[in-house]
Amino acid sequence: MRNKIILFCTLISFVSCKKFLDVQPISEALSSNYYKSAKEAEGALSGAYDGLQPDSYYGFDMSTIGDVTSDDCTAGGDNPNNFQIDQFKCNANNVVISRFWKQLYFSIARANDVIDNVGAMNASLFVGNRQAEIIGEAKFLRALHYFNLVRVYKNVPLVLQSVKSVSPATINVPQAAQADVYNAIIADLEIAAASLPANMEDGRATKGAAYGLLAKVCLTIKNYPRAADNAQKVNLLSKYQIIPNFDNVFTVEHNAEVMFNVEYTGGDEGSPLAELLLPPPYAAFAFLKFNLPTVGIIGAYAGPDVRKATSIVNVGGSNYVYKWRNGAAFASPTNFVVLRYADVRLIEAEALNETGYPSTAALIALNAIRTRANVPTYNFITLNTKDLFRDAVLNERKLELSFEGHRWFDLVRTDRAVSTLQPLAPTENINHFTMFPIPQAERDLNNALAQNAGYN
Amino acid sequence: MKLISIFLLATCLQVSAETYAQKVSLNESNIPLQKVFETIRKQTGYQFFYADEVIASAKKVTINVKKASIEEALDVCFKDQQLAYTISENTIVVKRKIAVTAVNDPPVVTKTIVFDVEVKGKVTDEKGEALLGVTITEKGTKNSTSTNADGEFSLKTSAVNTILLVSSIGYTTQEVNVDGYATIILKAKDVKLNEIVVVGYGTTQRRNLATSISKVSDKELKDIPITSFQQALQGKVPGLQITSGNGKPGSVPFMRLRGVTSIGLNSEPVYVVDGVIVLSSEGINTSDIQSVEILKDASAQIYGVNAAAGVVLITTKRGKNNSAKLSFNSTYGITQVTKKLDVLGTDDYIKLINASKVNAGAAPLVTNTAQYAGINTNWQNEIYRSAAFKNNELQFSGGGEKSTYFLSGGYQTEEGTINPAGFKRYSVRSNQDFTFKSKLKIGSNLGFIRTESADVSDNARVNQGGVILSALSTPPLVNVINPDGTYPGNPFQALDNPVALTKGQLGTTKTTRLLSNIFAELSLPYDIKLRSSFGVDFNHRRNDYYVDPITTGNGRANNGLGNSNNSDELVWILTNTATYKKQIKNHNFDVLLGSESRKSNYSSSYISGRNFSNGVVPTLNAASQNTSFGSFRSKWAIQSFFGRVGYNYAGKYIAQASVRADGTSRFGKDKKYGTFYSVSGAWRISDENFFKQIKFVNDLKVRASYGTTGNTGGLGDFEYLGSYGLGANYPFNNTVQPGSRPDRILNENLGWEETIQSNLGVDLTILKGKVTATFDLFKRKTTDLLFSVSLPSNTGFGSARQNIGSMENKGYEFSVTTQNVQNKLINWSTTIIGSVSKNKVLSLPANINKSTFGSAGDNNGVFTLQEGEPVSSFYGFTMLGVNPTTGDIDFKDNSKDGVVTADDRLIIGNALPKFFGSVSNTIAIKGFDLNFLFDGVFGNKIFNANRLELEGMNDSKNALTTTLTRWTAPGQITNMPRAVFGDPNQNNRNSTRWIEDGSFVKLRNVTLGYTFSNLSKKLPFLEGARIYVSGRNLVTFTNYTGYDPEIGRNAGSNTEAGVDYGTYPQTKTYVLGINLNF
Repeated sequence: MRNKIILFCTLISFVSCKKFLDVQPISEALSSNYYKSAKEAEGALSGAYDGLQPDSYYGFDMSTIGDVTSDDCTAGGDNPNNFQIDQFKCNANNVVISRFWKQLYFSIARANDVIDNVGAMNASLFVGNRQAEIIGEAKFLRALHYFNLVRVYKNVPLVLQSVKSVSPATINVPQAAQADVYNAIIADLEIAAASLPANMEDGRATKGAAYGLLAKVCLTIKNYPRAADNAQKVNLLSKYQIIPNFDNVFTVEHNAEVMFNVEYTGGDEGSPLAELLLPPPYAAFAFLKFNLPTVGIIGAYAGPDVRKATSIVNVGGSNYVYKWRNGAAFASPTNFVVLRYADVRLIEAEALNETGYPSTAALIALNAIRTRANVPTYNFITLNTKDLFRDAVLNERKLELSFEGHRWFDLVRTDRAVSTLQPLAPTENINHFTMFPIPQAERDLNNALAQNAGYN
Repeated sequence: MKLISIFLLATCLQVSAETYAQKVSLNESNIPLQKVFETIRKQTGYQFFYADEVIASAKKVTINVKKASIEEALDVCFKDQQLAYTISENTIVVKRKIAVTAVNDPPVVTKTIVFDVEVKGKVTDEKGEALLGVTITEKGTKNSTSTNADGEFSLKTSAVNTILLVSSIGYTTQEVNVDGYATIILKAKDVKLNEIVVVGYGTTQRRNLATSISKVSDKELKDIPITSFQQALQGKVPGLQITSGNGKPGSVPFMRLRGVTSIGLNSEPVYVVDGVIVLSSEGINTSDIQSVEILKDASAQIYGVNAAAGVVLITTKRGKNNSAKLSFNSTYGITQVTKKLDVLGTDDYIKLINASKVNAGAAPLVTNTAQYAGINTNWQNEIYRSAAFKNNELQFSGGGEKSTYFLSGGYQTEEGTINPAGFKRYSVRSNQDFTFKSKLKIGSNLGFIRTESADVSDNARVNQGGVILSALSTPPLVNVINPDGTYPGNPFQALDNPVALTKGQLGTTKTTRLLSNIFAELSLPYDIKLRSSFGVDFNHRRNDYYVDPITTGNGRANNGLGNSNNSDELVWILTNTATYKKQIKNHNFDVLLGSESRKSNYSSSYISGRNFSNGVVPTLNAASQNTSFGSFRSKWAIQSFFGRVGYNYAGKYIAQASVRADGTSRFGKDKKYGTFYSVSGAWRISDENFFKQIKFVNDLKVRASYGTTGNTGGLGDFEYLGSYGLGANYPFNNTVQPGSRPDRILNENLGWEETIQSNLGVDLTILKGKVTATFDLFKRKTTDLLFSVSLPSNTGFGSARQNIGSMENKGYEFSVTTQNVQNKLINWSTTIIGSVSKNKVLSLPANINKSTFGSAGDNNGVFTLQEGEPVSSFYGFTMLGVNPTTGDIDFKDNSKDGVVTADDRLIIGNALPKFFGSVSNTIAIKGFDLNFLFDGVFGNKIFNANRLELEGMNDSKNALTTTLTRWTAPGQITNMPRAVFGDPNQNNRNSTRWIEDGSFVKLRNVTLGYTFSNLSKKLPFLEGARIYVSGRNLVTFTNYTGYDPEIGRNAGSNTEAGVDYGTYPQTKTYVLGINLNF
């Protein structure tokens, strides 16, 4: 009798016991059930592109690292972290340098995830060549991230597969040789160039972008023939041009000069960059603005150079970076151009000069930029040595690509960082001019990471 | 007719067949007839029946017989009496001689009276709780029975109208005149030992407990000006540390019972309201609470899931049968901040920031000091205010024969010490009980709570809108308001001033909660009782935030900004239990079997927008741009089966065992179920015969318990599943495309975190209850810790939930209450409690051991987790002092490798207290009553990150006056480094520089009341009245230099406690209250 009562009492909840606890998520997609359709593959790829947008990447920090570290900008603002970078006193706890590392590896993981999973999907799920294109786009992104990582930190772990489990082997990944990282970057870009069409939706990586980035990578590792070759492959696409009006490069989105940019449309998809760089009326907030142009860069623009008015603006007696002009309270809809044709033309000029001076093609490429800027063109009389030509290209890069996050990288790859920057901070460790420290927070979690020379 | 009979019941042995043959030997002279009857009964086993008045006039008897037959003996006795007797079997019926003649068959008639009259009744304690096992004896006889689990009894007596002796261990024996049915209230001899303690799925008497359970009753919760009941528990429960998170109105403090039980999950106890497990204790009106029980050891195990950190059982008030009571309580008072900090004035500020710039090789920031002449704003004075505290409550309770009710309504408001912070609560409660045909009891508990609060942003730096740090760090050379009505900001950082922040942005939260259950209790034969309860805990929360387009820079930049979030969660819970309680002589059995199902359904949505049409309409219909939106839904379910067996022998030997199997949807299919158990036992030494000589000890009991509990509290709903997060969108062709990103790594091995706890306790009462003491020694070991492990970024994931390592807490706690003076004039008692606990991480995986995490301002890696060390250990460098030559701080080369590197960081302090305790006094003199409680926390360290902002001297913020002693010239000996913009030497790195002793003692509560007597003569409708003044947090003794050593940011975190960073300061409150009973 008693047993029956108890049984009855507990039976009510016994009945559907197994089902009762079988609860599945509603607002999350399960990894065990993902990559089942082309739409999901596209979504994952969009997510990989989304990794470009944050302020810890092209939203701001890329500019800080590329320009504040150089002779073109001071930190401005009121952030001790940026101040440290400006003064070459960066330490392993610097917030900018820590979050940049984190952002790039997170972005790499998204690209890895697409590459691993889309490759394993059934080809019949995709229309035309889309499966290969998706992988090509992801590889382009991964190459771009590693290119930035290896240039900023020099010694970085090379992770090319998505992490599926937490084991010491996936956590404590040691740093790879720089050559291995560059080889991986080149391999990715070659696949991207081969699989991507020349024309894609605005915002996507293309064949031209892959060639252009490959040229830049090769230039960085001083493989000049290959750099020149890839730059010329861009020319052969006949897709890009040095558009006549320099100002339009920054005011007209997706103009013919843009080869790859980070897309922003405002709101949730907005960029904080312009708000951080410019005061009202161009921006909403009046706080101390960041990345202020130095006297050096302001003076470097010759009188008729149209680029000065596009690059720098004077508001209330102070100079500010002017290439992005719509602050929109940290949610600017203005895109950030990562790679444009002028950059590739200058890469071509530099690479050809290195492979053989004098190079007419190099001079043509350089002068194409000069002409548009409304400054006198060069000839082999004014640039009568290979070294002078090289100096001219580098100076042109400084003026043309100012504040676009290239200057410090140009100084480092041409071995001019120490000679150019040391006078700004004579007592600093020489390594501080050419690379950043490995973030301490990462070293605390991954015990295989060694600190870079010159940092502790 | 009053007929009183006595039924002399022979003992079992005596009523054996052989005794009938016995003869009677008597040699007495002049003794009452009853005495003779008694002796004969003893010798023969014969029972006597008679009416009192029948033998009232009987003559005394002189008798001398040896080995006489029963008839011979009786003949002697009855010789001169007007009485007659008849013998039937072994019963002797005595009657008047007339009566005998009047009744044809007297023995039969008499037997009818003896066996057919049944008296019934119910025995309860003074609080109306049914008492089990109370002995009911018909006076002067051995005819007795005992009460069942409902306190009910029935006894066959010789008459309807009889005297019963009602007795139970620990209670004063009562003589009750019963006329058919009686409700008997037993008074406890020793209140403490007999108090009814609510345990898991039932109640018991404290004397029968083998586990560690603390009880706080309504008397200790009243009068204190608070908004949540936990505040009233501060300092009242051994082993329970309660920390007020901040001074915001309506803020709910954090509870830590016997230390931190988990690393990655909640260490908050489980809350159970009227037997129903609820999501939180939020919003419950303290005045509705009858008692709070805290299950501290393995006794919590019966509540299963998440009970590892203890269980807090809240019992709300109920009505009493046959009564009606109306009471009104009202309090009014004020709230203020406890302290202000000294910051620099304009002149000193300008000197500081100029020095900071110059030392960094830059130009001075302020060259034209004249423009700031005459401006010296003290921002703390501008934002802190005296705020009002009000509370009004009405309670109506009572009941009839078969039903009871309790109805209450409360309205409480508390203004914040910073405008516009505030808290309002409307609460209604209705508890009802109905008894249906005596076997079925049906009841309901309904609590409706509405809270409305306005927030002030804290725990954030000034550029994130943190008002507290803004008040401390905004330069004094700024006016509060411009002549044109706008608010000037910090001229060097374009940050809003704190007044603008409080006026220009408003965050409000409205919560609506329904806490309810209905239950039915059916009494079956064989002392079995079935109970079924269905409860619903419904919570709706709405947050609205609005930044107007005029007042603040943020508002102007966005032309107004707003967002609105809604979330609701409905948890239903079905509990079915069967209980069996039985007393057989000294053997007491108690069996419980049950099952429980819980399911939650959660949903939320949010929308935010900007660009408002004007500054008047704060809702999002006035926004012209949607900036983001979304909604989210989730579910979880828990299914449990449990059982418990208890046994005690005469309250002397007590044993109990319980088991509970919990299944949760939060783990993968092979890991869903966890089975947990507990055993406990106690021995009341003082009841042993050998102990009875020790007269000054009234009660001594030793207890031991051991058990396991599982924990998933705070675990996400699907953390075992690998998942893709959504919303990683990206525009192509200027059209935003939906995007996803890898969010979580699949981990099907994720399983229960388990806590093994053991407890050894002693309960002691000495000197006739003048001193009572409890001592408990405990150890808790948590294994398979569910920890969100930080991963290096190269994995692509920030963290992953894993079962890692183990941790233990060891300690002891005590409580001593003394009745210092107890007489008609003065009643004074003192309670001292203390708790000591030590936390230690026992094992961690290699990649977690020595990892660092947590932030304070810009500083990261504030904490470390290391084997052999406690959680919440601060990590950093050791400051040696300020180098007299450079003005920078020298840090110690702990690794002795010649350079100061990251390897020189050590554990530099711990946020967990070594000891906490309290001393409270209750003094009553005539109508006056005085209560005061000091509580304190000792041995904990605080990372004072406010100083990071206010002594950092690396930007253009204002600073504390302590920076006046900063290094300014070579050779200077000081502890304060030089001011230098950007801090190139990292003087502000994590180091012993920021670590301070967090010990404190607070006068937590003090109440003085006066109860009016004899009011009912003048005001017959008024039964009682009392007025009181009460204060809270009035005095703090501490060496801590911040606002208050009781700090809240991360206090709810197990591993990141003790960082003080711009937390809304604690407050002190004074109130005047009145209480009227009708």
